[in-house]
Amino acid sequence: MCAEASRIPPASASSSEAAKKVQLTVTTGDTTSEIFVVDGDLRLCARSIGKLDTWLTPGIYKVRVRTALSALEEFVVLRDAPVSKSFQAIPFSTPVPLVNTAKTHEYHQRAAVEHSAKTHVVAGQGSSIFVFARDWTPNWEVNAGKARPWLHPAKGLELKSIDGAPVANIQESSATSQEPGANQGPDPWAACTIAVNPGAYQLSVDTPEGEFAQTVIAPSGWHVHIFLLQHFYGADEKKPNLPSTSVGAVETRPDLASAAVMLSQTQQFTPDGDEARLVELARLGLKEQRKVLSSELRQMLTAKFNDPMLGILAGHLILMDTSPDLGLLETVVNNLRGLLPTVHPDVEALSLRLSNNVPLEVSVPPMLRRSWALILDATADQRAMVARGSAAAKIIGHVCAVDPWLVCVQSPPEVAGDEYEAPEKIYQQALDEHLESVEAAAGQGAQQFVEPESAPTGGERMMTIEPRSVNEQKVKQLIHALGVPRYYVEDLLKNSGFDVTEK
Amino acid sequence: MSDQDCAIVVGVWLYPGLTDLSGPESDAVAFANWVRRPGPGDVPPDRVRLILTSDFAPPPFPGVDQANPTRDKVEQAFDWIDQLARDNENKGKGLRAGERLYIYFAGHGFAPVLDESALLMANATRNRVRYHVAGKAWANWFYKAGYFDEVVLFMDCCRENYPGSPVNAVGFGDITGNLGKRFFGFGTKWRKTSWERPMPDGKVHGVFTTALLTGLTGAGADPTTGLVTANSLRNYLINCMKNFLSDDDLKNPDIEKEPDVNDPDNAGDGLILAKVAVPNYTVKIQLPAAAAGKTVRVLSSNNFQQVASTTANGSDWTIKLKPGTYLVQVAGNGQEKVIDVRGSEPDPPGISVVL
Repeated sequence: MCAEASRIPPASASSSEAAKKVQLTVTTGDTTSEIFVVDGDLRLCARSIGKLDTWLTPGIYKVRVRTALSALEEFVVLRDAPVSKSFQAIPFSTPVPLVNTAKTHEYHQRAAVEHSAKTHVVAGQGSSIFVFARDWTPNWEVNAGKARPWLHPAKGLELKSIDGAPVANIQESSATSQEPGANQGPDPWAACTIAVNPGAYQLSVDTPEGEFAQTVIAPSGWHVHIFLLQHFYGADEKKPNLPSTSVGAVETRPDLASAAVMLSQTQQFTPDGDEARLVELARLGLKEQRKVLSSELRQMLTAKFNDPMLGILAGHLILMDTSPDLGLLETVVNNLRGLLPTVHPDVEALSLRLSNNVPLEVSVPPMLRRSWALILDATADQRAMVARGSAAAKIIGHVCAVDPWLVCVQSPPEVAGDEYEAPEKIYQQALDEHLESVEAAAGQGAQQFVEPESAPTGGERMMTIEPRSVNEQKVKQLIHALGVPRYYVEDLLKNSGFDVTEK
Repeated sequence: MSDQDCAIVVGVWLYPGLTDLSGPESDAVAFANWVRRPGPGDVPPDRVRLILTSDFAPPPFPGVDQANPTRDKVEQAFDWIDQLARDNENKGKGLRAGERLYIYFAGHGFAPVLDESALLMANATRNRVRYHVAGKAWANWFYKAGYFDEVVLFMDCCRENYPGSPVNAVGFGDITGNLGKRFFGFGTKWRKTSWERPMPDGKVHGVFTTALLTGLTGAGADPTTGLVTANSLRNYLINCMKNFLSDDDLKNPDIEKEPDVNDPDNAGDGLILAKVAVPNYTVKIQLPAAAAGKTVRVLSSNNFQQVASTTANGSDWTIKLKPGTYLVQVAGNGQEKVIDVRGSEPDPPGISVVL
């Protein structure tokens, strides 16, 4: 950081150097916007979240305000008078058709408002799940006159029970922009509200790359709002001279990995809700690993927030800090438990970072990948246990490399040259490799020749496998490296002839 | 900058089971050239292991199973470093392989676990992402083992949504040595379409590597000392990598404009990557007719010191400036403009400023 920055106003500073400093104030339209001030040599002089008040030596600085992946930059020339810069809320990309975002249409907003208030499928009572899938065409495509053929934006979408039983075919049950009198425009939409019994569900989408699914928790008395844009699935290049190894033609399907999920006690969606915007900015902050917890948002977390998803996402943002504020996390967890009538796997996952917890048995996969990572870490010292045969256990080996949602691929496509390999086999191989590297370093052989006391006549040597062991530290490393719970590692170790020792 | 440094540079562009890429090979070669060049990288050529798709002729490969380089080719390079360390230990010099290790990977990538970045090898497929090399895990292993004083990792890997995978084993056992410093740079947040693009030299390059090499060869130097340090390079990459994105990507709200650059051990200005002659870039200032006869000054950003001046005579004013932010001022009429000179533009024509 450049040496000139100071939060001390000249009036309270004693040195003459400090007295030369000039005040720079920056305000932004979003409390989670990151603010950076760099000098002419690109050195970071000051940073903050939401608003910034600093004192700098006279000079030329660049102020950069970043909201999600969007940013604005302005130069400021500090001479002898204070300078204030005000940045309006920056439009950012989100699947939620919120006002003042980068990918919104008023006809999408109207459709979401209208159809979130209706019920399209009755599969229970006490909670509901509203799914709004849509497409959005970039301006450069519009300007180039590229018209996309109409494709159902909810194609392949299904709601299933947590065990995989069909609950609702969203593609078939949804209202769409093709219906007469619908809120129409160039970019299609599909909307479907499913009344459900409170509980855990899977939202799944069938794609050319396999069936992707993620957990959706529908708490009693709450309405889940899920928004999806489209994603290209499938190979994007043909290789005519090679055996077929691609996964087929490119097709668009709803993008689970970038979904927006919100909880509301009101069934109808509100496109200008401040908290909805905040939830999305928290999700995007987590996805991009940005430290976006402003003091204002921290204050909000200690006092009151309405959407439990904000608390869950913010809980993980707290844990991203080098020295997490576990007191604040505890407050957030307590607030979440007060808001939600039943146990939520992501809330319980967050609680694993707090002390005085009873061991947690996990049978339902959480919604967030970071929650899953917390659970796996906690299985290392048995503060958590993933129940064998449960829905949570069934995701082992199927977790996708995306963030922040815990998206699993359920049935990878079988294509020539790229046959599906069972996770058990992959994990066993990986474990054996990890153990081989340890043994090789220690100069041990996996198999040792021994002279048995009751050797047959002639003293023939026999090969036996000596009992081997790994210590607790190595078990923890394996849990992290393999991304599986403790019981799974122990099973793999047992298969390879290893015992776990205390030391 | 020592004959005790080592470098492992990998560029994979042909993937029979995934989409092919264009830039990784030339980017890896360019990075290896920088690493070997006397002065900046200065790593002895025999201590640089360059692993490329073209080493395994003749591409294209008939199928996934014949594709190279595979994981073992990279791990053989790591074995070589381990052997250097063990040889030194046998000579009584301690279990050390050198002063600085460079690791550079370019190709397809993915994150097998949340805090990892891995390079997919040529025989990887969507269902076989286990054919990877976990770059960050390896760099961290060499750091923890104390084989080097400094470990510098750059990964320029496009990212798609692949199924997860266990992280492959790294290292040669649990060795803990004297901890040095690490400096990591990742250009790993982009899908293929944004991750590489045609650059001014007419060839396709990775956006991150283009910015990295521009920074290492001068644009990322401290303009006072000419030193490219962990600090100055990080500042340059975070602020200027966006200059190498296409206009469409710059406007795209789904495209990240900054790389991940980590200085986890606060190496800061203490980790010197190169010493260069601070470059001067051409700046053409178009002066308004109303400025004719008036003095025009270029002032520095930190204390408004005059860097250059001229008397406007109706024609453009072309000057050379070191990287930095400047204030161009017409004396007497209040006209002024801030200009930012970063070396991201081709030189010539350099930056053109209309005052």
